[in-house]
Amino acid sequence: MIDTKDQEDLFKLISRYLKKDVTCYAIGGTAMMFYGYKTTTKDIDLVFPNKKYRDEFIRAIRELGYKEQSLKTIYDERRRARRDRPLIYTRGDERFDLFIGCVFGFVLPEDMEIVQRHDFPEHLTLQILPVEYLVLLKAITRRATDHEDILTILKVEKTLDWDSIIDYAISQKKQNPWILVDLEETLQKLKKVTFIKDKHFKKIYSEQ
Amino acid sequence: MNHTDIIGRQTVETISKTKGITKQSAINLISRLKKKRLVSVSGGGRMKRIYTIHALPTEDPNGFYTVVNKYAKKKLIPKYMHYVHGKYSIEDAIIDGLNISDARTKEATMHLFRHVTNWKMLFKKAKRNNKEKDLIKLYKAARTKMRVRKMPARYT
Repeated sequence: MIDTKDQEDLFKLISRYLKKDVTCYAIGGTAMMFYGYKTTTKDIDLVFPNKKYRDEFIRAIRELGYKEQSLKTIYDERRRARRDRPLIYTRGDERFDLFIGCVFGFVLPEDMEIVQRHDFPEHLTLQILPVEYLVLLKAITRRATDHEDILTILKVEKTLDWDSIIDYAISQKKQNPWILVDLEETLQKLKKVTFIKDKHFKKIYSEQ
Repeated sequence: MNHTDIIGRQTVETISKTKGITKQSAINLISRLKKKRLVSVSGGGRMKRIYTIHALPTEDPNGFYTVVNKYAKKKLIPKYMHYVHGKYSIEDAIIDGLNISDARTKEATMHLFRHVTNWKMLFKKAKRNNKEKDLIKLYKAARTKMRVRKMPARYT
């Protein structure tokens, strides 16, 4: 587990070991920590726009003693079989899940709007996506912990832009045919704790 | 300490009324929330003090938009919250302004040329970002519109 201060210190350290500029997106628990929704996470999920950036990042963390780990104990067989599966690097309790361009079929658009940008001089820039993206990614991974994280976000945000979430999902349905099904199932569960208008469900059904 | 019922803009009086506590208790509550970085303050002195109570701890951004809005006549609305975990100079801000590169941002960035202290570092960063030509172009445009520090001849 890593807390907010440790995470910040770790990124500062990694930046000092990078030899080239690297930009990436933080998702998952890491992003939630930058927002302030949680104070610890068990892994650091990063999405790089290209292989060059990821390779440079891996080179730096290997120098710091991180070693590649198998996905076997972490992701199910379906996810392990995917071409866009991440590389996992660990050192002690700390773990990096490093993706390129997409997260289990969910493609991050190139011109994506960011909400926060964190620079770790000299070489590392982390960008944080709108919270709606985070919720969507957690809605489609469907782990129990992800559902809890969505509930944590909803406790603070009270309302989310469900239209945006559904629109993002619709834009992804070609590469990820199950995305609307997964999202609908998650929204049905969330309906028990927060108000979600019927029109949002109708929008999903009309696109399926 | 549950503060969810007072999230948003408040004064001492409104907090006192909402919570059913005295004014002094409200002030003490605000003090405790400030220590947890849950409060921003505006006003004070002759102006009524307004407190913005946040749901989550906040840190003020310290990156590009903070620097440029300190010097620009027409302030920019931040496209994102920019945090720098380390040193961030005027020179860094100029390069970021060139990278963002829309018309309003460029105009605001021009005001930073008046405060450049290290031209060598500025050009080194520009070279790293392939922005040397853009930098010189923006500098020349800034020179025609406002007072700026003179760029050493070896860079123009």
